[in-house]
Amino acid sequence: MSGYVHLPPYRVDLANVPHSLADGVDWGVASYGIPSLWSQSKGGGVRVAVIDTGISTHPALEGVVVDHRNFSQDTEVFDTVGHGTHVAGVIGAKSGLAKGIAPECRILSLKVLGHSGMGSNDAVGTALHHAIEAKVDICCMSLGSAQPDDRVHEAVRAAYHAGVIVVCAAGNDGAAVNFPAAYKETIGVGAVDKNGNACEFSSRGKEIAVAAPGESITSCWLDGGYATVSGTSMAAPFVAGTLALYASVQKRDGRKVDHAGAIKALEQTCRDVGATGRDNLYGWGLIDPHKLLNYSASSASQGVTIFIPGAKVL
Amino acid sequence: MTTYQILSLCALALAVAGVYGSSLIGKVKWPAKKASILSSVEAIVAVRDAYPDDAVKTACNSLLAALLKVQA
Repeated sequence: MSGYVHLPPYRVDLANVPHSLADGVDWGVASYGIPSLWSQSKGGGVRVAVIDTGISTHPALEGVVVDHRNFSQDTEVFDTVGHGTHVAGVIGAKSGLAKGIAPECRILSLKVLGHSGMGSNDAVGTALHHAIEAKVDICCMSLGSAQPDDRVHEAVRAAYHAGVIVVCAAGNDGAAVNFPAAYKETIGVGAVDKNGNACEFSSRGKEIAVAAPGESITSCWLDGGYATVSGTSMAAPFVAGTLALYASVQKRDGRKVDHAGAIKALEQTCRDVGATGRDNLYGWGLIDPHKLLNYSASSASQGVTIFIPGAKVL
Repeated sequence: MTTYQILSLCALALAVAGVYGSSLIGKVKWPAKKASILSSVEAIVAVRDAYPDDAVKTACNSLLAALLKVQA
């Protein structure tokens, strides 16, 4: 294996999964006001690639996951770990215990990590190129490595130039941000708890762009079940799902959607927490789905919004 | 390669990483600090890639899966 990537070590709780959730959504989706945005968009017309352990068949994901590809060394195309299924549920579960953020988006499962939670950089690169060819709008990668890799970086750059929004988990060792989240062409995501505080495990560094819920997240799991999982792996799909809503609105209104535009929108709409301006824990701050959805790319060029890099939106 | 040799290799990988077998299920320190889990991952991958035997690969992959999925 020429260089490897792996799941960020993640915490799973199968014994204390809630039997029901208020309004059928998990705490992050509820507290960030996602359901009230569904009158504007549920992510229709947007395609999201989940580059992970594959996705298991699950009632809440029927019709949402439209393609399964296997780039890993496993013979099984579906998820045997649970991680990728959980990520997909956060993005787009349409029903069940915990509805996802963008239940009308369409998800492509690109399996690059096998049952061990490990995969090759070559597989990630190939999957990214497949995602570009499949014309996805967003790639979500909750995986990483401490080491950079030329093949992955080349594929990330290709995605960037193709206009694909690439969202990556920062890592869970509380240390330096993993690759590919550390590449400037990706959106590195840190995790926060229910109080909006950065999780202790969340990796930190100047590469963090935004923070989102990543502790005790309930979502789809293997065998049609559910699990409560913690990690930046859960924060990344929260951002990917929210960007799916954003992209859906932008496309509907005839605006171009690309990575650079998404970055700019996040910069201008995140709720600044922690140190003023962009910081190593929260990036630009907590994702603000309401501001993001109502952000108009044209407003900046019309002089309505003044953005000063490193400062709050005026 | 015998089962004994396979198990010895895996035990060696864990010993090198400073992680004991009992910590694999339910007792891995969370948050997952780089010095514990990730160094173990590196050690096990090194063993796995050094011995192309299927049994070694299977044993190492099982260890890796257990390391990365920390039980609450």
